[in-house]
Amino acid sequence: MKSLVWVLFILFLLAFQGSVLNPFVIHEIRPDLILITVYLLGILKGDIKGGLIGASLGFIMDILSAGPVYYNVFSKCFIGSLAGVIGRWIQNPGPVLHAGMIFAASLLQGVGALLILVFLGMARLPHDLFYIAIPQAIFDGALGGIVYLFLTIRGKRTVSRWAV
Amino acid sequence: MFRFVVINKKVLVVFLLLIGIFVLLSPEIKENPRYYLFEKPFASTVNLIHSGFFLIFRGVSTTWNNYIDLVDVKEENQRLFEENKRLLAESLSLREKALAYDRLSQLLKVKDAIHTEFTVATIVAKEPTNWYSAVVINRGEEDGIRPNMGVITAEGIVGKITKTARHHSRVLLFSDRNSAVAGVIQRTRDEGIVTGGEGKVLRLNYILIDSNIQNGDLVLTSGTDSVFPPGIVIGRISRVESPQNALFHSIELVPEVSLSKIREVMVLNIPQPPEIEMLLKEDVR
Repeated sequence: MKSLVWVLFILFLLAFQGSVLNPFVIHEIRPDLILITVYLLGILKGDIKGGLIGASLGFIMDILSAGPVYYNVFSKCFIGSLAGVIGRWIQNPGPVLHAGMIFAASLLQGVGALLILVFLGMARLPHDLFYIAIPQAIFDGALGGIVYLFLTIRGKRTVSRWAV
Repeated sequence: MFRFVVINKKVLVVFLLLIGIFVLLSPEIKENPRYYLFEKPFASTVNLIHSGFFLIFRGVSTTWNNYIDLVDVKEENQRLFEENKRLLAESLSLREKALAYDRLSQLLKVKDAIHTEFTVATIVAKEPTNWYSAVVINRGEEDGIRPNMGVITAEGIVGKITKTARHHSRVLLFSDRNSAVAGVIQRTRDEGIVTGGEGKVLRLNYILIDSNIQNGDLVLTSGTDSVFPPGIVIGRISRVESPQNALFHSIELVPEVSLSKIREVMVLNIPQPPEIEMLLKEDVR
């Protein structure tokens, strides 16, 4: 039952990311809700599960995307694993630190996407960096920090399986 | 061997996952105009949810238009206000219908102008990432939609079909970095290729430096790409640079269609030349 709820939640989230209902848009830049979810699940579930969840979500996101390669399966897998490592090693992290980590992860993902586009001869530099990658990373970081803050206020504890 | 697999289960899972990911990084996999068997269940499920979201969106906006602005009713004017509310709701509903009628009549006018069979579709979802410009429409293979069909509105071109499933299709918008449309400048008849530029701005390429083009010139489809019929509006030239010793102008244009606001589109069914049909069939195989 719990697994079914998780699957439904994930499908709902994936659909919401590309939905006409999604209200999180500033100047046509949307935050990557999947990245934020993968990061938070990685923190909670550890590096292996985080990586697997990230790969699954990234895979479905790639199916829905018009991108030329399956890139999100790779980037989300990495971010999920990275979040698992962070959750293990950083004790009692606050929302600001998490916002910064999500910003860094999103920027890293953006730079990776940009490198693929450069490799395929489709990059529009420096526009892509300054008008897509960096604004999205800021948006992701801010929203991720707020979501984390909300989760910790609701749970009255730090969201980390290793924190005391 | 079995013991090794049991002990190193996590290592094995990660190893298999990495192999899978590197296989998926090949661009050939994503270039297929139809969904692969492993993609279909995910794409169909999520697009079904997209359609649900769209219905909720439409329902909520209709409810909002009809009722939300009428909830603050004073008790002493209840009866009159109720009557007023009913009439206003009817008026709003009629206005919505009139707007829909206007949009559809515009589409019909375009039909008369282009002499091409078309299917009307509604946009139900957008590209989930910020790197590409694409939308999902609620018409698919069962409605006769095939890859490489052109998509337009009454104002101008929107994009072309890149991937189809049974009940939905993906439209690559013409503002996307992968997009290219054959265009012609209306005033000078110079032909070039319009590609996605930076942000909302498009680029018109391969216009020779001796062409006398100006800001504000209208760019239309030339019809040579077999995707769009000739004469459909693409955009207006907003900036022209003519670098010294260059062979071509550097031209930017602003699209006539506001891609973030469109709801209904027309998918054009232009018969493809036999060579292109053959290439498409090979792609599907």
